[in-house]
Amino acid sequence: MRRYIRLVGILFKFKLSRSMIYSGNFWMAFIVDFFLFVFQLVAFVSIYQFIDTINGWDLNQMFVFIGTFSIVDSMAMGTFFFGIINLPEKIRTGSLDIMIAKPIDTQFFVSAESFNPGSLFGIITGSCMVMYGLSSGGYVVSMIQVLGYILLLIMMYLLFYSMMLIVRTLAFIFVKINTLTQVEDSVIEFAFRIPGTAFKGISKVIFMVIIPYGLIATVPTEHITNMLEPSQWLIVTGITLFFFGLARFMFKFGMGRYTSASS
Amino acid sequence: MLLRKYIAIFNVTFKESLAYRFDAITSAVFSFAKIYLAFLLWQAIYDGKEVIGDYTFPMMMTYYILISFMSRLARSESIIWETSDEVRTGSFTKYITRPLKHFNYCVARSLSKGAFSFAVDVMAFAVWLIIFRHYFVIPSNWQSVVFSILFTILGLYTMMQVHYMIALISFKTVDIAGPYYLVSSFMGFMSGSFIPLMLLPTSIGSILAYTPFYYMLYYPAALYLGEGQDKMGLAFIVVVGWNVIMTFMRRHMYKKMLQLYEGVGA
Repeated sequence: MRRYIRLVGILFKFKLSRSMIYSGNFWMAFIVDFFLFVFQLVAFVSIYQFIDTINGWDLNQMFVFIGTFSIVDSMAMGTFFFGIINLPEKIRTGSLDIMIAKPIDTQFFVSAESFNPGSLFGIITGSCMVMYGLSSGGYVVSMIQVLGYILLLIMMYLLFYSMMLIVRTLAFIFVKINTLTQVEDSVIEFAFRIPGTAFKGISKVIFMVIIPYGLIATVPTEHITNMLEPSQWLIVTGITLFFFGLARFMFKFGMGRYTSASS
Repeated sequence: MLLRKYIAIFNVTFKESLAYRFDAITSAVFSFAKIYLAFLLWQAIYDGKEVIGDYTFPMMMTYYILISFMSRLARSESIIWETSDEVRTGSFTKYITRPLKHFNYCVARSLSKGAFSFAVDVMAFAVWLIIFRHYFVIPSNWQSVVFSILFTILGLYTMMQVHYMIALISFKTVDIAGPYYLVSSFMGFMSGSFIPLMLLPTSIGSILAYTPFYYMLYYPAALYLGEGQDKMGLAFIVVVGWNVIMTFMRRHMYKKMLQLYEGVGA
């Protein structure tokens, strides 16, 4: 375990110094994320000119939701996103070979090799948005709630990681999974960005349980705005553990089938 | 004679696209996911309201179906990655040594990919219409459809010019992803692919009406829905004006950027 923590430190330092050399690229990821964050904010503020709530959520809760989305997204973009997104290409071209040869867990290496430190600044802007939403909504937040919120953020980060990895491990079987990743993009674009309260009936089962992108920004928001029932903690924990376990299983299963394309 | 070589490029690209037809068909079918999610979001937003910012719920759904269809026709994005790759590997040299204009080559390829997409997506579009038949608005006059198609073509050409200029940046920097994502995020929002632009505060909407992005997706869809026909003259001047400016810009950029090209690897 200590070896892995040290390795994360080394990889992070290496990526940070590399990003500093190309300072444009270092800031670019943050700038892109920041503008997406602003556009989402403008879009929802514009929509709320015409309505008071979306399925019971007012504009302040939406601010918390957008901030939460931004935090989880920045955590993902800053750490595993670029590593995982390139997995199908590595499988297709056989460049995964070099990673298998390293004396560390391959899934860990694939996930951690492409840190993007610039994206982590989005956590600051997201946190500011959450605090603004909470204060303008008049929410009184206890320390226990803050700790619960942080715990849920970590869980949702793991859930996002697991969902992304599961889709990309299918490349071990089908090699080309462009269509699936396109569908995933569409689902993320909306399901990740619209409040889970918008889902009803069968769509709620689909986007909150089967492909639970709808949970990611919704659950921490519901917790910090006193809308999450205690029993939902158990369901969310169960879903996260299930998908995390499934991602691990699928990666190992895929590695068992991996035949290397180039060598 | 001049056009023949570009027709050949069009045909070859079309055949190339045919090789990936299964991918294209499944991608068209699954594009339904985006419309379905827009349906869920707007259903929650309308929730008993008749009209939001001039649009009824069926008009809003028609808007999303139309812009999804139009976005799928825009295939000029690949110009960026192909040019960047060719500059990096040195294979861009072929455009310098052969009697071929690189921009025209890119136009021919994008047109061909767009034509292939159109052939596939028309079927998917028919499926969307059947599923969302209660939420799809048929315009009351045919002029709306004709003008909408004309502005869609102009919008797609504008998009192609923007993509081409981003592609030219690859002569200056190896990693083109940053500029691409930055411009794409602006273009996505300002063209109305996230929300219809008439929902934005009037001041922002009026400023956007003078940018080329406004006419890429939002304006053609609005025309179809019977909006903005009174501003068509101004819209035409703005779009054509931007295209003339961009033509000068890309020609100038091409000349300047080509001086930086070393042809390494060729």
